[in-house]
Amino acid sequence: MDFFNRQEDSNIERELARLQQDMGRLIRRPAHSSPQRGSKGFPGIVGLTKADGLYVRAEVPGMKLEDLDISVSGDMLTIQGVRTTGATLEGGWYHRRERESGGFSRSIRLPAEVDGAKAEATYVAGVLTIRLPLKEAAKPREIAVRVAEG
Amino acid sequence: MTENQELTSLEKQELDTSVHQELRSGYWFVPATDIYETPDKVVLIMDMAGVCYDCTHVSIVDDELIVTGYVTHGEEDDDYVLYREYEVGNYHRHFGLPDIIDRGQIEAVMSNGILTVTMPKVENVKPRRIPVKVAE
Repeated sequence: MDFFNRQEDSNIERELARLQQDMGRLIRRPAHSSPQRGSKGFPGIVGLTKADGLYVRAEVPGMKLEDLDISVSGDMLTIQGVRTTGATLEGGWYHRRERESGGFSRSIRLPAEVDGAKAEATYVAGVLTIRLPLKEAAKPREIAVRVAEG
Repeated sequence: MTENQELTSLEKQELDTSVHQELRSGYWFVPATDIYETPDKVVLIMDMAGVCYDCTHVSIVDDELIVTGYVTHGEEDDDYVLYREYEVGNYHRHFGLPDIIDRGQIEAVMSNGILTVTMPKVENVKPRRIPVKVAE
């Protein structure tokens, strides 16, 4: 099953998917993923590229930094943690509980082009961002073309 | 839900257009909310990932508390998205306020994508202990 092989619902999406496939070598499917779009576990992730590398983003609001554990082992990026949402009720009672709590773990296989050892993570406004810089050999190079006389 | 449980998936819920028709562009979500009440206050806790504190608006219009969060940390112009499991969008939800809430004392705090709104009750509904004197 392929990371990008999913049902598209418009021509524009099909065009984008075709473009994405060209870039698709850069990121492969997460280990344990299913083919349909939508959340495949907690946290849901977004994989993207920028000029300075590959990024993985996840929405994990309300985490304490010590409850978030991000590691790279070989070609596997793992995001795990425990989200606690229970309040100290101070003698009160719940009217509604929609915010789930629990442990989570996601593993994402990294493409060979990124340097896992140089991964950096930031956590702002409940959004976790992991930047994986490209290896030197994978960075774009300009090759001069000479005109052969003759 | 306990902390020992495995968090499996958490789909963001889009705004129900039969209740609230959003005419602004972009994705709009209903923030997942916990509500609890204690003898002297009602507290709302809302998951609003990607919203910073100065992009969060909490207001009271008539008898409703209206919460709107504009997402600022979610997507950037130079992102080239290869793979997506969630959409990034703004948040909106409203709550009917009972008369027991002291509207002048409502406080809202945003931290790590969590908005907490603390709504104290008016003095005359807070439980009071009445001292019992000994009759001579």
